[in-house]
Amino acid sequence: MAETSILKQVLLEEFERNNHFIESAEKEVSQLPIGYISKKSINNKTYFYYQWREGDKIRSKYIKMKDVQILNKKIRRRKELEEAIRKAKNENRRIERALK
Amino acid sequence: MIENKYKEFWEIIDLLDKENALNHLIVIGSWAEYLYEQSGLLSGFRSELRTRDIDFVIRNKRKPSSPINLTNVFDEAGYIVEQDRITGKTRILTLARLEVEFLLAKVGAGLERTMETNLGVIAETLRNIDILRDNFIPVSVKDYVVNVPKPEAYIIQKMIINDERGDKSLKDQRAINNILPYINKNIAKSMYQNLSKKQKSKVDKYNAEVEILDFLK
Repeated sequence: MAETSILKQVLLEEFERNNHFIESAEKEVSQLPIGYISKKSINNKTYFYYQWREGDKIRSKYIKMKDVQILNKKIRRRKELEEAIRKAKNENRRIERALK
Repeated sequence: MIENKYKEFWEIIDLLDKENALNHLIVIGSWAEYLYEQSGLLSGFRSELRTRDIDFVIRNKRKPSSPINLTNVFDEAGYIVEQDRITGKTRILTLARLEVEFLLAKVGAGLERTMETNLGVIAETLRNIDILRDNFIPVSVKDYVVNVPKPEAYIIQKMIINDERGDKSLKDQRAINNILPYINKNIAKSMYQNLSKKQKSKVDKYNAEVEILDFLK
């Protein structure tokens, strides 16, 4: 009985922690750029474009070489956070099933 | 995910070590139990539950004398750094959902719920942390020297706070029972004798209910 109670408590703590993580990570994600960077070669020169989807349209914006690294870092950060959020949500679904 | 949890724990320790902050901190809670096991401090001990909370006790809020800014360090290293909306305390979140918090021993009237520190984080002040702060031991694991509470202090502190822990009290009782066979009873007795009257009565109350620690008397 005590073992079940401890396990339940640990699961509830993990559930709350995951929810807190999801909230904080989603807040950060909302401030990071969506989309991706594409590279085009024109006349043996490389140009970088920031592309993102708006409804049915793909928007594109030229980015200077000096800004590529910063933007790329932000996009990678967004993807990392989105993956972590997905894992947290999956884990919470498993916890909910276990607590039923 | 379990692998990530340990990897990230050591990444945090590494970061703190590189900033020369590790010596100013004591790892408490279930991660201290992990370090008891990994360091071989308690021969044969196997830790069980490990939550994603990593709690550090700050030994002295005015140290190091040349302040460092761990908030910036964690932020630049890609962690989610936030301040609690109610208390203002610093909380660091990792992608494997570890949650790092900093604690200080509350002294005197202790009206402040949080305090700024020379480590550049805002720590939560809690009562009965002093026993952990004043009775720690450095252990070597991997290439790091990490401070943990002496196991005797660890279980005595858990006894003192047990009646305030609500739903977590059973989990703490289990932790006490797991460590109990490995502690030095003379050290535990000496620590008990140095407790305040109030702390002693809380340990006595715990023992009256659980009946496991006759040797403290």
